[in-house]
Amino acid sequence: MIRVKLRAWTASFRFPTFQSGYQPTLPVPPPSTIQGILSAAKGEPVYLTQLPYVGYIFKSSGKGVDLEKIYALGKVETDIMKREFHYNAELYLYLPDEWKQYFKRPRYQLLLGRSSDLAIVEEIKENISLDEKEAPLGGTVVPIELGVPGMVHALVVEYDYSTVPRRAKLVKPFVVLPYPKTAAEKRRQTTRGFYDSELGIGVYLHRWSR
Amino acid sequence: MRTIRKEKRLDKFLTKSEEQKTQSKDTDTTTTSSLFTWTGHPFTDAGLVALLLLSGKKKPEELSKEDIENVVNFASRLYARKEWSSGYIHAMMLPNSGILMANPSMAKKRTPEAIKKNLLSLLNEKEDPRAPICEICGRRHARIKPVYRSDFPLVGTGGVPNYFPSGKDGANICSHCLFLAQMMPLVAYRLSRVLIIHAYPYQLMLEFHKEAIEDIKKSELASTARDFKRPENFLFEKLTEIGTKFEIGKLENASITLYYFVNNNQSQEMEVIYIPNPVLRFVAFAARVDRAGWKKIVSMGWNKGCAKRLSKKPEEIPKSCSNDVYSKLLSGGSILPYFIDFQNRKVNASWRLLSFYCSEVLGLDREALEFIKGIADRIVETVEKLPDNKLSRRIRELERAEKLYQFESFFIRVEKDRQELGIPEALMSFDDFARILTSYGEDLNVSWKTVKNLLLFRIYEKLHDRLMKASAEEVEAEENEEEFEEGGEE
Ligand SMILES: [Zn+2]
Repeated sequence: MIRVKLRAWTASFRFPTFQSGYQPTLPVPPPSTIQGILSAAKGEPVYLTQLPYVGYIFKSSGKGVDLEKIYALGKVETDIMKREFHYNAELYLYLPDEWKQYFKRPRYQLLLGRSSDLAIVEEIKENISLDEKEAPLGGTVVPIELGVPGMVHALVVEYDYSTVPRRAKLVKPFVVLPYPKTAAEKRRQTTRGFYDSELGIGVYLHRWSR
Repeated sequence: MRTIRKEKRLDKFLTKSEEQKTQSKDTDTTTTSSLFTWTGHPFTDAGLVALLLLSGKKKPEELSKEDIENVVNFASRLYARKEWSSGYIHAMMLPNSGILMANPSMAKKRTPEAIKKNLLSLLNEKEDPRAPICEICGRRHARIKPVYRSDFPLVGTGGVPNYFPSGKDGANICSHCLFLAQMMPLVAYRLSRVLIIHAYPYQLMLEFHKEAIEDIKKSELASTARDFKRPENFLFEKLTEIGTKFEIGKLENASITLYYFVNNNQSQEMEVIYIPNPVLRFVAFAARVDRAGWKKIVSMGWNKGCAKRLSKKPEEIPKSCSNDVYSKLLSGGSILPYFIDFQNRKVNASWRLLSFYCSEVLGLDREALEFIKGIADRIVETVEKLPDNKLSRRIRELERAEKLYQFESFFIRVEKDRQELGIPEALMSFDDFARILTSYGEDLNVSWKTVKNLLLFRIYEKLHDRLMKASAEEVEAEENEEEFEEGGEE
């Protein structure tokens, strides 16, 4: 297993249906954003439901709100949108070994959200081994059935890119778990699973291929 | 500890553990047979709450066709009225709605029958297998007609298609999810914006929105949440009430997110307020074991200026003013100082509530808390033997310790007191001393100042009466005689 670390000045993950006026950011990227990043790295559409597993951890230094001027498509008209964003963002991806080549030389730009949220590959670590134990989870989404408390929201797992416009392929309700800040939050978000002892955080490996 | 390196073993483990987990938890999100399911989206889940509450049912699969028709009748009758149509639905939630006929141009044709027809036709809308799947429930095909913010709050308009994939066609939402969104006005709370309390487990969401339905039944108007002006104040108030009913165990994995929004032609705003699980459980615990204490804590947090302005109408304060206790709880700050009334040298709540707060919200471990309590009890055992004026002065040294060295010298003075009073054994060992001064500094919430507050809490709890008596006598006598200088430049 490899662990890829991405870093970006800003990141923003729109709630799927809140796009008028104010766009709050999700605390962590939805799976479909991970699909986008993997696809950009490889240079072709990647489907999470075809990967043996994928895990990710996201954290940032804080949040802010940006005012964004947009040019309405197909019209001579502009609008001002308020967009919430994460500042100083880090994303760790846990992937099968073959992904090393794609992140060593990503085919397209890697983005943590919108086109302005440009990311760089800061590190690719090989031979990552995860311990199996009670571990605090966070900075990721987990299935509701796991029984960990957090914000519940419906999210697209992956899109089908064989058509224009793209289409959702799989949608599920998730627990959106922010990266735990306090000892108390860590304790509440602890469950049996995998643990990255180097980062001190649990890793939930999604296996949508089943 | 088992280390996993090979993918095969990893797969095996995952399959096994996930199956076990799915079996052991309730599967209320995985039922696919019923007409409606919980989706995880706050707006459609709210619509489902309306259906359930008005039908007296608890689970989506219990809903019958008849139930749904009854609710549609009820909703259509209300929605046809001006107070609902232009005054609420068009003004705050679904501007120009065609389905609910809130579009001002439809005023003449608007009747309960016409709205009912629109709503039921959504449920009977044929699915087109060539359409993409719904991005909310993932179960059905999206409707062919594009969905914009006049039918589903905040999804954007055709006017600015920038955020729809490839810039066209609106959101991919199925007719059933769209139907549920049309039921949302029934359970929503109408403050200066619209409030939806999205809770998991979903049973909790029913609890939180029951009041809205009760209000509608009484007044035939949308609930104004008892005229609260601030969504978080209303939430905490309700949580305190609901908390007394719920056992802490039931809230073990509960979460609440407030969606506070407005969606009309002038503006679209959205605030997402997440209530962390430790906070939920703490408030519920407070409501059950020490309601009076919790009330006192909250009462110290009201914004001073606002509370002063409303001093002639004190019942308005909890509805309109911001509260530091609430905002600290929501932002992860410490509310420990609010457990203590420094001015009157007394405690606002029981040690039991304090202890729950420290361990469950601040994350201080129980063993550390017991250790600090033990030290506090030994301090009490010492200083209670001092004459009133000296006792008061000694505790004042602790109260005024703003720097670590001042905190240190307090212990040294108490140690001297012990020797002078001939109390056997030291107040604490060197190791304890080091621990209390330095061990709790890692987390911003748990520094030596936390320890200081905990010590004072225990001392006030035990010695309040004597301290108050002494400080009354002391006021004139010792005005000019401070033991050490206060503060610094910091
Ligand atoms: Zn749907």
